[in-house]
Amino acid sequence: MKQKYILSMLLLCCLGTTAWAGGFKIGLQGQKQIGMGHTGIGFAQDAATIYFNPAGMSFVKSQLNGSVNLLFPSTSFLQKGSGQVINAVNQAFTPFSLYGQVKLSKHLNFGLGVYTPFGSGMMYPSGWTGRYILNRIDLQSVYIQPTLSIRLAERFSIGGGFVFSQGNMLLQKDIPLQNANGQVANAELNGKANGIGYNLGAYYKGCRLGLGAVYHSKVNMKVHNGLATFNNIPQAAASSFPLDNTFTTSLPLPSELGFGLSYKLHEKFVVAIDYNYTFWKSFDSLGFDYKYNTASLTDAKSPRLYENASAIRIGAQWRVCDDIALRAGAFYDQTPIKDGYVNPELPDNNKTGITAGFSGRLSNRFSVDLSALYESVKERAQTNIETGLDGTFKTKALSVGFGLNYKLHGCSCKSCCNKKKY
Amino acid sequence: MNILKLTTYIGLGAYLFSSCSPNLKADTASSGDADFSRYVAIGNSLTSGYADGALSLYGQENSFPKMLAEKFAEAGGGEFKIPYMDAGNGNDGQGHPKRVLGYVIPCNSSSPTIGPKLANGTATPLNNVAANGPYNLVGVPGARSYDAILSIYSSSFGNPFLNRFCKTPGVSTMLSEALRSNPTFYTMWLGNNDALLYATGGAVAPTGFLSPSLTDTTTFGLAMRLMIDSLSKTGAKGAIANIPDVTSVPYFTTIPWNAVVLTQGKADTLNAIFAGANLTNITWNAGPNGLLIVDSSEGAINGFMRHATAEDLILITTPGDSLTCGQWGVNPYKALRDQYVLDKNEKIEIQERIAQYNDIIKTIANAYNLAHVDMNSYIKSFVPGIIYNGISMNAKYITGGAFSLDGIHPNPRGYALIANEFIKSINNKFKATISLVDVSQYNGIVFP
Repeated sequence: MKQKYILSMLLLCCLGTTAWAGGFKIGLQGQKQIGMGHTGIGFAQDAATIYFNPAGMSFVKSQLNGSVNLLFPSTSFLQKGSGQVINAVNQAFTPFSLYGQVKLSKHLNFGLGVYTPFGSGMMYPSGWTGRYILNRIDLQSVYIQPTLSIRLAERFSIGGGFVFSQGNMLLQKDIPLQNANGQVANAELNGKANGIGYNLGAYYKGCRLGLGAVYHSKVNMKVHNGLATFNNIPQAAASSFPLDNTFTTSLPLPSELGFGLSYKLHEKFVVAIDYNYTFWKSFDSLGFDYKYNTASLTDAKSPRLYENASAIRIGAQWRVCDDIALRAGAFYDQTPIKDGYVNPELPDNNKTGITAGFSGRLSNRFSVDLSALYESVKERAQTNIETGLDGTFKTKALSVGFGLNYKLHGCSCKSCCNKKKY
Repeated sequence: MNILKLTTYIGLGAYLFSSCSPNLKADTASSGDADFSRYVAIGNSLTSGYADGALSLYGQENSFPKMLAEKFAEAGGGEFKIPYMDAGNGNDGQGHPKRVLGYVIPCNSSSPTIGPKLANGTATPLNNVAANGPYNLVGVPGARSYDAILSIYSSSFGNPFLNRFCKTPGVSTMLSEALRSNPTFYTMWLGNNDALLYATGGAVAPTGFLSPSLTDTTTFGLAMRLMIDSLSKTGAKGAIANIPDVTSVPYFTTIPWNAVVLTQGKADTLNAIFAGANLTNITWNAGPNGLLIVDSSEGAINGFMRHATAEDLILITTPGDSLTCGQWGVNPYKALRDQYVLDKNEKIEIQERIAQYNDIIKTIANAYNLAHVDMNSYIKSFVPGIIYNGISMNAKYITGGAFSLDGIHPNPRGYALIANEFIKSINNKFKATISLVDVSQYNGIVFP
């Protein structure tokens, strides 16, 4: 068994791939789904369907499912004409998900999901050329989603859930003001955010065909009384940056419509395709409303003017035997950011990615999922209208994920490729 | 357990990936058709790094020719010697230190406000560094076009900034100093003072040979052409910058022409006084009024008093306390004198002359195949304002962030922007790929 895992690991290395989605959306919500290009709207196979399509719960057995990803984005910037490439500080992120679902009755399933659908983090080396635009951003959100699904017919179900979102927002930048010691002033905005929303889905499961539609509502993340801290402000300008200042802002996490289809080409072979349309247009500006305003600290809004964006995802799964499944997938994800609005907080562009996945059964109740994702954000050269930053950004990202499933009712599946008992 | 081992492999793979960054490629610096091995910068205060009303080590270290030389070094540029001053407050040539921002107590208040003042302590002596010459940076504050070819200019009663580093005082010229380095490439930004010295003095009619005047275009053309001809003789290539319009810099635009703000009652009182003195062309209204100025331009009656209009420029040298508390510009006996005002006609005279100078510079640039740096247009763009990587800058005094406290010379950040204009022109002309200066690394105005 050990050898087998190592072999699969090597396989993962070579296929290595996957992605986080357009804007600051994270496309890492379930290990099996990541393995298949992050498809899952029309193919419910585990409790992660609570996110992908809540209606799918009606066709999934009661189980618990937890997973974590290690995400390593890597971004470089070349200022036009500067002859010098600046690498953003490499950071690791750990988007995670926890799903659990139980059958309440023949027609009714209840589930709870805790997952991280949006987030972003960028950190630039200190003193970099864009320091007066942004030094660091860290956006985090955790969605908690209690969900019900109802099996309306033998092959058809609907589902829905409420979303309670908690998050955090951190922004750091320098201010072009120098004190007598030569220190440059800086600002930090840090606050907790929360918001609410909902998910709706419909699912049809035929013998071979699976069809799904899902709607994720917008969640408006509001920050109340976040701390606005200013350091190294010259004494002469101290009155422009009051102490103990706070801010209020909101960051819309956009709504999304998705359609998915899966087809069982063979008893052991399934292909899936998902289409997502994200209503990014709701993110038209980022503004901060300070408690204390001064001539230097106004409530100005910074335009973002995001555009709605599509993503297309494909995936395949080969169930080698009852114990083992292999997956592969790919996706294309359109950027919501217009030319002239790309900035260091999210140096985004259209992305392509490839993914691979593996599942192995450890016992009647336990199974393990692995995924890998590689994505490449197309390099993008342009001048930001608001800040004048003129150059080329390029990003690559790798994610590796690990998940565990626990079935509440063990199955009596037979091991097909290995007669060894667990 | 084997899962542990797996996780280790995963972690290892991820680490290996994260250590390699996206492969963006920067252009390598190349000199194109130019040869930067011996670069010489010739010019006036703007080339020397003069700022905040003085030449200081800090200013020299943030001069645009030094920035250029650092970038040229990536494409074959050699050593660039600067006649450094000793560290300190600098020297304006008359023994005054540079200006700094500090707390000053205005006449109408007891609480200090932020404003420019002379730095505490003495000026830095103008040390003689001739023994270590020749220098690549031949920037001489105050130099006009023809000063650059006069040997008397380097004598002890000529220009102290040239005197301190030239080979043979009284014999050397700025041009001969530049040629000593046998340049393969040069930048020349000269001619500003041919109009500026006259303008900064309020365009007072010259009273003698030494008083500032507008250099006539024939002299200007001859001097500039002789400079470029001599510098180019050995096959050196170069860049020449033109002259910014005076109306673009804070020295001329900081004090508003309509600084007299009155209530109706005050206006009535003033009107009664002026009517009593038979100065009927002057009337005052509630709200902002034009300062009372002496119009000295040709054709005007000597001592003719009128309100300033939006067409007139009030110079930054006008004592602020006298405006605020001393009735300057209001009292009929205290109309702003010629030296504090560029009235409309004077302004137009200077602007037209600068346009003629710039035509000459353009012609020379074409004739000698030089990179032509249009500094006039560039500095004009500061009036609406520019933005560089999130730093907003404009032509406003102090708050604009690009000019130093003297209101004419840039601060280090402003000089870095100027260096980039030179680089863009040079790259364009000589098919070079010299990399641009990172403006964000340079200081703006330092606040107390």
